[in-house]
Amino acid sequence: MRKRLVPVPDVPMALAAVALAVAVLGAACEAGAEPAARLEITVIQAKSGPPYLNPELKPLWTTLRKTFGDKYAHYQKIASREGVVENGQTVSVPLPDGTVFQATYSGLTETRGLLRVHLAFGEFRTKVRIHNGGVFFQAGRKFDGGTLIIAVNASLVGR
Amino acid sequence: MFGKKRGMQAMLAADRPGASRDATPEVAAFVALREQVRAAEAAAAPTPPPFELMWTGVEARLAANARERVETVAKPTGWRALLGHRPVWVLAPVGALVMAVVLGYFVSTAGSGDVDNRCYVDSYDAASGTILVEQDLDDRSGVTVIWHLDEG
Repeated sequence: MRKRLVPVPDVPMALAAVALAVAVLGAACEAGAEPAARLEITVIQAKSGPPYLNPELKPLWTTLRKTFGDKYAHYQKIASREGVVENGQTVSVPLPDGTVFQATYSGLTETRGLLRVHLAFGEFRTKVRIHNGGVFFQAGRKFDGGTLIIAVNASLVGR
Repeated sequence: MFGKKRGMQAMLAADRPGASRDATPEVAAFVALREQVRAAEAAAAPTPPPFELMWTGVEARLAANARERVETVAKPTGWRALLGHRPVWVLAPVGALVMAVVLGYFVSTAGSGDVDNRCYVDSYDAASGTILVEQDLDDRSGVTVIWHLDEG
């Protein structure tokens, strides 16, 4: 009886193919994962009076001046906090009056890739979408003879 | 004392070589006078200047001038003075560093100038107070302010 010769598969080639498949699948999963975001929260007390700018607020000075003009002249930094967060995670800043300001990263929009940020500050709630690296202010609460201005900056990590 | 002609002859005779004091009194007188004059001239002759000493000084001055000239040529000025005796190409790494800093500055600041601060407020809620959204979506760098004003 004659035996048929069956080709033996090349073991190293098979291993390489498996490794390639794993790499491709991993890359696909990586591409599908939502990137983390860096949230930076800066709490500022603004009031009229003698001009003053806390040195740590210098990077924000141009924005503050452009946004609030002559409404305030005295800017004091109260607190700040930053953190790299995944979708659904929150960065909180406790304030001297016992309240807590919370900013939650809620992922990216599908079409334009804007960052969704939810704010909670006492009874106040808001949901916004901002561009990568953008900043916005929440303001109005009275504090120690002035007004609280809270700057929120959100940017994607690794981009 | 003598006649003029006789005196002249005596002077010539006294000036001739070999004239002696034993000649005629006039000649002898002139011989004596010549010797006195020569003795006086020899006594009054100035001593020669110290040429050896002078040349020693001149040589010392020439050597000093040569040294000063060498020092003047070797002494660097301007950028060379700042660099010392190092060649100019040592500035290349410094120039590269400066260029890297300048480029880094422009690269780092180029991004910040293009930040889009436009913010889209999807919802807001508060049990009390007034909420006011202040924004200009036509201004990409303009920052949105979400005011929450307390009552009263």
